[in-house]
Amino acid sequence: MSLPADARRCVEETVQKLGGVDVLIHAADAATLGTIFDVEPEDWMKAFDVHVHAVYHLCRAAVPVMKTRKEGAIILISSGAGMRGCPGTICYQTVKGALSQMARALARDFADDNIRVNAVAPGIIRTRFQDGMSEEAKQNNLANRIPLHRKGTPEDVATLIAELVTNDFITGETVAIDGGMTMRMV
Amino acid sequence: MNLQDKIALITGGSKGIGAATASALASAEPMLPSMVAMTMKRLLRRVAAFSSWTGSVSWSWVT
Repeated sequence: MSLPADARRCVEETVQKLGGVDVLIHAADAATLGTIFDVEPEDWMKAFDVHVHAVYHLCRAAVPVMKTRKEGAIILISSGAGMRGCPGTICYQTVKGALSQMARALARDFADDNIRVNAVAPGIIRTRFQDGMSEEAKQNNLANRIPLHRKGTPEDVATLIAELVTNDFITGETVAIDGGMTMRMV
Repeated sequence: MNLQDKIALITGGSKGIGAATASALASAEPMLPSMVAMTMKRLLRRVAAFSSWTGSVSWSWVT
C-alpha cells in the first residue's frame, strides 16, 4: 500500500464492485523495534511506508470519492506509543505519533466537505502483534502499567472505531483505549 | 453517519483490529465492507465468512 498505484487500485476496485467509499480505516500494522542505532534505514523507510505513506496515498485516492458522496469518515490506528515515550521503539513511536497529527491535519482540511478524520490509540491489545513480548514484560504490563490490570481485545478497539465512524460531531481527535495506561501519573 | 448500505474500505482487514472492526461495522447495520490485506489465505477466509452474512464483500491483495 506504499505505492500510489496500489492505493488507487484498492479504492477503484471498491468503487467498481460496491459502488463507492464512505469509510476508510487504515488498520495495516507492523512493528519496528530497536533504538535509532538498531533500526536500519530501509526498515525505517518501510515503517513510514506501511503507516504514514499508505495513509497519504489512500486519502488521495479515497477523499475525492467521499466528496462526491457529501460525507466520509476516516479512522487511523495510532498507538499509546505515539503519545508517550517507550524505550527501544523509536521508529514505531514516530510513525504512530505522525498518524495522530495526520488525523488533525486531514480533519481540518476536509471538515467543509463533511469528511471526519479521527485516530484511535490502543495500548496493550490481545493480538498476534504482542506475541514477541516476553512473559516478564506481559506480567509487568498487567501488574504495574495498566491501571485496569487487563489487556484490551481487538473487539474493544473495534467498538470505539465504530463509535467514531457513526458519531457525526467528533473530528480531529485521537482517542486512547488502553485501560488507563497513558493517563496515569503514578 | 448512518451505516446502512455504506461502504468501508479497511486495510489490514484480515486480522486483529482490522478484522474486528469489519465485523463490528457490518454487524451494527448492514454495510458493505471492502478489505485489503497482505496475506491472501487469511484474507480469503475472512471474505468467505463475511460474504455469508453481509451478502457482498470486495477484497484486494497487495504485496
